[in-house]
Amino acid sequence: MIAKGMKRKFQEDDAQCGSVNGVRWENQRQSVLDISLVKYQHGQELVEPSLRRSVLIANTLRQVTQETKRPVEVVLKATPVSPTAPSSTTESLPSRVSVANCHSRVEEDWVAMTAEPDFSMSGAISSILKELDTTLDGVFGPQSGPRLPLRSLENLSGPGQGVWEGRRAEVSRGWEGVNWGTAEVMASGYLQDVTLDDIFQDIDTSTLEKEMGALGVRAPSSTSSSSFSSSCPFSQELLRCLPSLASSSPFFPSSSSSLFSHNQSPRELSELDHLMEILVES
Amino acid sequence: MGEDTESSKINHSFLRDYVTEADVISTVEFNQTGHLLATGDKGGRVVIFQRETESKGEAEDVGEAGGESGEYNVYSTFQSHEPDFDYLKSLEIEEKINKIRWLPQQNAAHFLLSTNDKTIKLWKVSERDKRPEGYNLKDEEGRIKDIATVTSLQVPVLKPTDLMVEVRPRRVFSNGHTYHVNSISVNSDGETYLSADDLRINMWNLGITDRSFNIVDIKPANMEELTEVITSAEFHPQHCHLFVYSSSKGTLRLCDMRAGALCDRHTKLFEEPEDPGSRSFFSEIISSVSDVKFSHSGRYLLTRDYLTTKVWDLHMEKGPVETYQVHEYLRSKLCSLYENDCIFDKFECVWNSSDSVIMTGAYNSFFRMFDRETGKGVTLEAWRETSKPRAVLRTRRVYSGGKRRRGDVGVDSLDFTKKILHMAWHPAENIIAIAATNNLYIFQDRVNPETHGQ
Repeated sequence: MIAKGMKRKFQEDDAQCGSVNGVRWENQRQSVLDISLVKYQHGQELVEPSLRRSVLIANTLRQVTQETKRPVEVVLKATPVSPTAPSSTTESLPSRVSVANCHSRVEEDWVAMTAEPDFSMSGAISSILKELDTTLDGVFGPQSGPRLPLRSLENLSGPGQGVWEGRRAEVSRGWEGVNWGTAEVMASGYLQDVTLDDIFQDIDTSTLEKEMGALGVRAPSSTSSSSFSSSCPFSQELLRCLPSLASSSPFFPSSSSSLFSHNQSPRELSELDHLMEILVES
Repeated sequence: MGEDTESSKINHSFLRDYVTEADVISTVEFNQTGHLLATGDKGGRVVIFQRETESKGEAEDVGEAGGESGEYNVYSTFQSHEPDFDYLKSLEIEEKINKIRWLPQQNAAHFLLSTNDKTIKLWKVSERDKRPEGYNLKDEEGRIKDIATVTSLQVPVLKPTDLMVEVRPRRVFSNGHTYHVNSISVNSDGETYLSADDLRINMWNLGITDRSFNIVDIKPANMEELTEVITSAEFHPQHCHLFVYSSSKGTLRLCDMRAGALCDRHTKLFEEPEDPGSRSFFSEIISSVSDVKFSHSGRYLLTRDYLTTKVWDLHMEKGPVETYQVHEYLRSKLCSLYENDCIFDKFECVWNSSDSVIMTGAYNSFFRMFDRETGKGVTLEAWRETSKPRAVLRTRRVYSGGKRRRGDVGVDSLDFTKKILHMAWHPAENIIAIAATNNLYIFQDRVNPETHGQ
């Protein structure tokens, strides 16, 4: 019953699905999140992608990510620095950037950090549905374009899976790691294109295109010719996707990307190298 | 299952369990009189069964009304749809028949609509039991005669021959849908029909294939905002201007075509408020309506979602009037069912002829019947228990706590690959057709072959 390659989670009773309390709920939520991501990917690989199925999975993903706000209340109450009305501010997170009655830097960091997973998942869900749209409406034309951005994940065999498994442990560790955890998940696995969006936003794509082209040319020496032919159109497709993803992120477009660039520029370069390796391999 | 090496017999027992994917039945439908029964399968074939009529003498002896024995035999088989390929989007188009709907009979021929994901076809089923003989210019084999050999003239005569059933495609309604067609419904006006895909509903005229009216379009301008799809649609049985469609969010919308050309704004919205106590991550998925059917009276709607089947009164929008639990014991297993995709199964539901009993399918080859008057439900199994054709179905029970009786099946031993998704109820009598993977079961109520009341 468990999908191949996935760790089995200890679940005492499935009946606890709905309860909001504690670790069990968190495990359930994480489990549903993981399953949904894998499911969506498999759905795309099907001969006949079902729109109903994909929409239901996307809605479940959205609901699961919205549920992440609840544990925040618990942590906020624990920190003595936080002002008297934390619950009302967390409620308003998805719709408003500015938080009323919020002056301390700690609060602002919390807002930004808790908004992070929401933004990334919403961005991912947006990109999911955009892919669906292009797949079904044939915007990309006669080549098998629409599938290619996700195809790289299929090529990520052993190392990719292992990376994702490892990262998941970080997420469940606690909210201090939430920003890192989700960012790591994004970088290694399914939500690869969303991370690329943030990282490449400040980079001039024309120079990147030359690099990618160069990588594509070098590929035949290390990989088979069949993968070369797929990596070239893939990289072109990926670049075409990037501007669309940049424009499609509706939540916190400037605040979070600036947050990313301020805090994580040393990390960006290593991320970039890591991603280039993956692209070359595929 | 051992092999007998001494005799020449080959052990075929393993073949019995092997099911060809193409033979899986994907739709079942009686015609308006119940005389014909059509099934469609994943391989794009349609098989039509006809009810056998006993001779008058036998009927009088047995004392059955109508002279029909109740046995359905194969009448005709034809290939309705072929696998196709969309070159523009690089996608295969499955030949699986999603729905079959019969047209009301107007002459000696029968007409049915069959659809796959993209194309709807109108088929004419006609019989030929006579052929002309005695042509002047052609001989028996159809070859042109030498004029010199013709010495006298004769009038060709019609002679009876063996019955031949001809099926011909009369209309092909293509390029009407971008998304997968899930329903078709023939209008009571006898001239139009609707076809629904995930995001749009089109209305066609049966005689015109190159044009259709789009009557519902729920595609958002930005596909990223898509959260709801259409799952089923049907015309009202009497009012040709009304139709209903169901969504993946558990809502039903009744639309009146007199209100406007585009029926994006519903006339009535049927939605049950969510029970906050039973909320889970899967609440939305299990609320997705998989089938909606008008009652024969046109007064009620029957819907099926993952765990329940509900009866709605057209005059009351705030909630169903009756709710029946089909397999509540699965509620605690939703996470596993989500993982193995069973939660996305689309079960159909049907009314009996008098709208007093409703029926729907479940897992493990079980199907459920609910008597609306008493509110009681019964579980039956579609399985070849014995080879006798007249074996009586016994009721089954799924054990999920409490006192366990002999013959009860445990929840964990249910076979989720044996799903009863498609079924049909005879329009006038208590005869039901159940599709179980690649098998078709036809059951008849021997106690009450004719229904009471309506």
